[in-house]
Amino acid sequence: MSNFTISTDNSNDIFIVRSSGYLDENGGAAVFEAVQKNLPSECHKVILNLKDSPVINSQGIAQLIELSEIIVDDKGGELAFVGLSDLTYGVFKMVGLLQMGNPFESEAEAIEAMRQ
Amino acid sequence: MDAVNELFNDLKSPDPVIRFSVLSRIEDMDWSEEHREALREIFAGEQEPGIRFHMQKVLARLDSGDKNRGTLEAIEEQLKNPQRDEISLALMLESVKRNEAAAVAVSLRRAEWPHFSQQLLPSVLKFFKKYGSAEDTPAIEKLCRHHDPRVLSAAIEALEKHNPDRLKDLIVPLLINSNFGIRSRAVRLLHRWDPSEALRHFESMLFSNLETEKHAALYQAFFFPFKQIETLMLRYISVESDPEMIKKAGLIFMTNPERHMPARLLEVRQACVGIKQKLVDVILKGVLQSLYQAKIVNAAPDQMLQVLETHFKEKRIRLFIEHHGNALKSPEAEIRLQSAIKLSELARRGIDEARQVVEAYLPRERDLNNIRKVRYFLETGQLEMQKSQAPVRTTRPEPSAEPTAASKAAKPAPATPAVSVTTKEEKPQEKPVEKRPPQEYTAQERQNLIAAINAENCEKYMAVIRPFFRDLDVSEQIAVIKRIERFGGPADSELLIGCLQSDDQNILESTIEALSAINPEALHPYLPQLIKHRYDEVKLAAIKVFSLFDKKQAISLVEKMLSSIKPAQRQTAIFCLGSFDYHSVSQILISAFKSENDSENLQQISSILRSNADEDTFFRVYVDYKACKSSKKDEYENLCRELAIRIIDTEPGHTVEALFAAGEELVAEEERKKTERAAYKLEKIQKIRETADKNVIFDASLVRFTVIAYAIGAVLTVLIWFLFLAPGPPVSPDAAPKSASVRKVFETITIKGRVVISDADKRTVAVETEPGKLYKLQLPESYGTVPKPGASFQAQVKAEKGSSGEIPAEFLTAF
Repeated sequence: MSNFTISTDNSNDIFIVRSSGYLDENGGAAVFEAVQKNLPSECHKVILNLKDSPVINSQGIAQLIELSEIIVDDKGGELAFVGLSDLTYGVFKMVGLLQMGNPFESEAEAIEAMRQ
Repeated sequence: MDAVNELFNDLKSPDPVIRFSVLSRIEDMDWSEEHREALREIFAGEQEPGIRFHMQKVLARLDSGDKNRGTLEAIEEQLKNPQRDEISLALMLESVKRNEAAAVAVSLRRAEWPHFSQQLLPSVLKFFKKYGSAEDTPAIEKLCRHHDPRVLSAAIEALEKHNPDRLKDLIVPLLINSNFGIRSRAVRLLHRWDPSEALRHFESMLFSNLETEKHAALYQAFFFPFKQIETLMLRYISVESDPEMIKKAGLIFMTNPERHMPARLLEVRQACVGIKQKLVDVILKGVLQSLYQAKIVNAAPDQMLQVLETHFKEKRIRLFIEHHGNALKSPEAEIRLQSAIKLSELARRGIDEARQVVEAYLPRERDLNNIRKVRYFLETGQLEMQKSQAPVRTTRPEPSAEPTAASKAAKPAPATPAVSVTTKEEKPQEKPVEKRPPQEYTAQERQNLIAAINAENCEKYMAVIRPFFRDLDVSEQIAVIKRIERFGGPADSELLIGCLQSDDQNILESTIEALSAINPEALHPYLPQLIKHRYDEVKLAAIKVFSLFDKKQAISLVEKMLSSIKPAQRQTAIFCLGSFDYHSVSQILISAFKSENDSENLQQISSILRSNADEDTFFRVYVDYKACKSSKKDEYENLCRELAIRIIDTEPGHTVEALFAAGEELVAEEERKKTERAAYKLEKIQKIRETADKNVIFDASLVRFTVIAYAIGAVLTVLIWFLFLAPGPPVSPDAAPKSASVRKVFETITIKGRVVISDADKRTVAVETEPGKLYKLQLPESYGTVPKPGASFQAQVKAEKGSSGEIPAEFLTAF
């Protein structure tokens, strides 16, 4: 069975969420909660590192859309996606998630772009 | 073609909805100088004001280098100016700073934003979605009835954010909106309040005849919980023939890997050919990969595929044995014999279960003739005992009661082919036979020759047999055809096609099966005739192959057979349904269970449902069980219980009682929703839409649009609208009918294409078979419902030979 884990990191003004495992409804909820609980109030830049979550299902995507709307629309923040698999990239593009945040190959690239 | 050029091509589409939908996608593109120029050129040719506005906005943003930061001061200045620059204002609203947003909102309210132009409104609504508050809700709500889909869609999004419950009252107008994007969005909204009715709407969109509607449904499919739509999606890819649509649907399957899905996709893959089979194979492997990557399973994709393929074969064999095992109880000796022979054939291929069924049947059989024939077949693999041991040419085997066309058309066999052949029993023992012309073989030798055909020697042996094939008797011909089915290749197609002229049911059935195995495309042109054949078994064999090319039509043909008054014919149809991938026919089977009264047929349907037991099937049967008031209630209960037992076998988390309780809950919920959903029930919405569509057909603006589209070289479909709808030109006095100077030659042909226009009242359709070729015909009442635009259409018609363009045709038969 899949084991979904999540970790967060704060790199100065950027909040990083790293997920590992199948990101389904529960996984999506865990990501959502991690951001809601741990995102510092002054921080508006979020990186979602999904390198170790090559599969994200519809309900996981729904959670990520909701989260993106909160970060980008409600908080006026910035969002970046790191390590999207080909499958996830295609789906994110289709459902409009890539309009909410840019995709990057690595965290370093995302951080650099966010600090520019 | 690269992605950007693909988008630009869509921007040139004659359909304004497609053009507008591209605009939001191009905003996020990386723009090269070349792309900017291309967009400028397209903009110059764009006529539609809303689209022009949006394009201009994109271009202005590119030119300003995204520096159009909307300050409160600049925005207020624009708002005060009656001659305001709307493009600039729209760009400013998209880049308002958070700390100024509240003040900008106040200014907009003061400027009475709901009265802004419909070009500007989407940008304002986007702003209010982000920064609006409860006080903006009434104004936004009003715009949720706006006629412009761009304003409407932005208003829905804003209202969904601030007060989604208000959308509940708007659901009916949104569901009947003429824009498919809006409709599909409405279906997703409806899912919040009434999931099961929303899914019925979703189903109707997904299986629409209109491509745009299907596209919209597929997009929304990503937002539904996959569990709720997986059966629909399976049925969809099973019947869909457009590769792009299949690819899109495939993405949904791969994104939602479920343990049980690969087996179902494998069934779909096995039920199609050509490009579609390749696409479904890619989806299947993609799902296996996702399952592995998501660590839902530990087996590598290749390994899992192998196991699935074995299970699939076993399941098919089980169904085959069950079907023919049931037929062994038939009161008709001939039916028992045919099924016993089929089972014996399987037994001879080493399937012990089939042998056990035949062995159990033989002692019970009262017809001695049957016993003798079956025993003989089991031993030799031949249909009948040969009375003569003489060579073919000297003493022919006794002709069958109904001589075949193939044997009637027998041509003199050449005298020469003489190669060394070997005899082969069930376990082949290569043994050289003397070299002499095959015509001189005794019946036993011919039988040995045929039985010795295997994968390695098939080509060599067929070279020997082919010249005197027509001289063989029916049983020998069938034996050869069966060997071709197993070991032959496309080189044998010609011989098999010759056999399609036969009048013999068994030859025809074997030939269809063999051709479908070695070269289904070669069989395609003959299917229309075979589908109408007087023998049910031939008909069904043909339908099975036909389903590889056009699943939808094939299913509707079987459905027609299911309504026969003859139980035997219905039984054959049920067996045929069992050979389709389950999810494309599950609802038909469930409905058949409801209407069927013959106990054997009911047993057969139950058997198919049981072997495909899943929750979706269980709940659908459960609803019927609860609605059943007849004596069949007990049978329903048994079926539900059997299904539940099968489900808990594969998904141990469940219990029979829990499934029954969930069924009860579902029935109660449906009952509760009955009154509430009266307004937005699918059937009611469809009726309202139909009335609206009727008005649209004669809408002058459509004709105008058509003419414009035609002028810019648009698609044939549009031309059709023009031909059908535009008023005819005035008839000049000298345009009186002239006697034809050239004699018209009419021919009966088969046409296959897509309906591009239909008029249900006049019962006329126009069918496009290839670009520039359009058949116009009237359908008789017996045809049934007139197909809608977009539907596949195949029929035999009478039309003028060698015509092109718009061809009047007389409808003969449909298939």
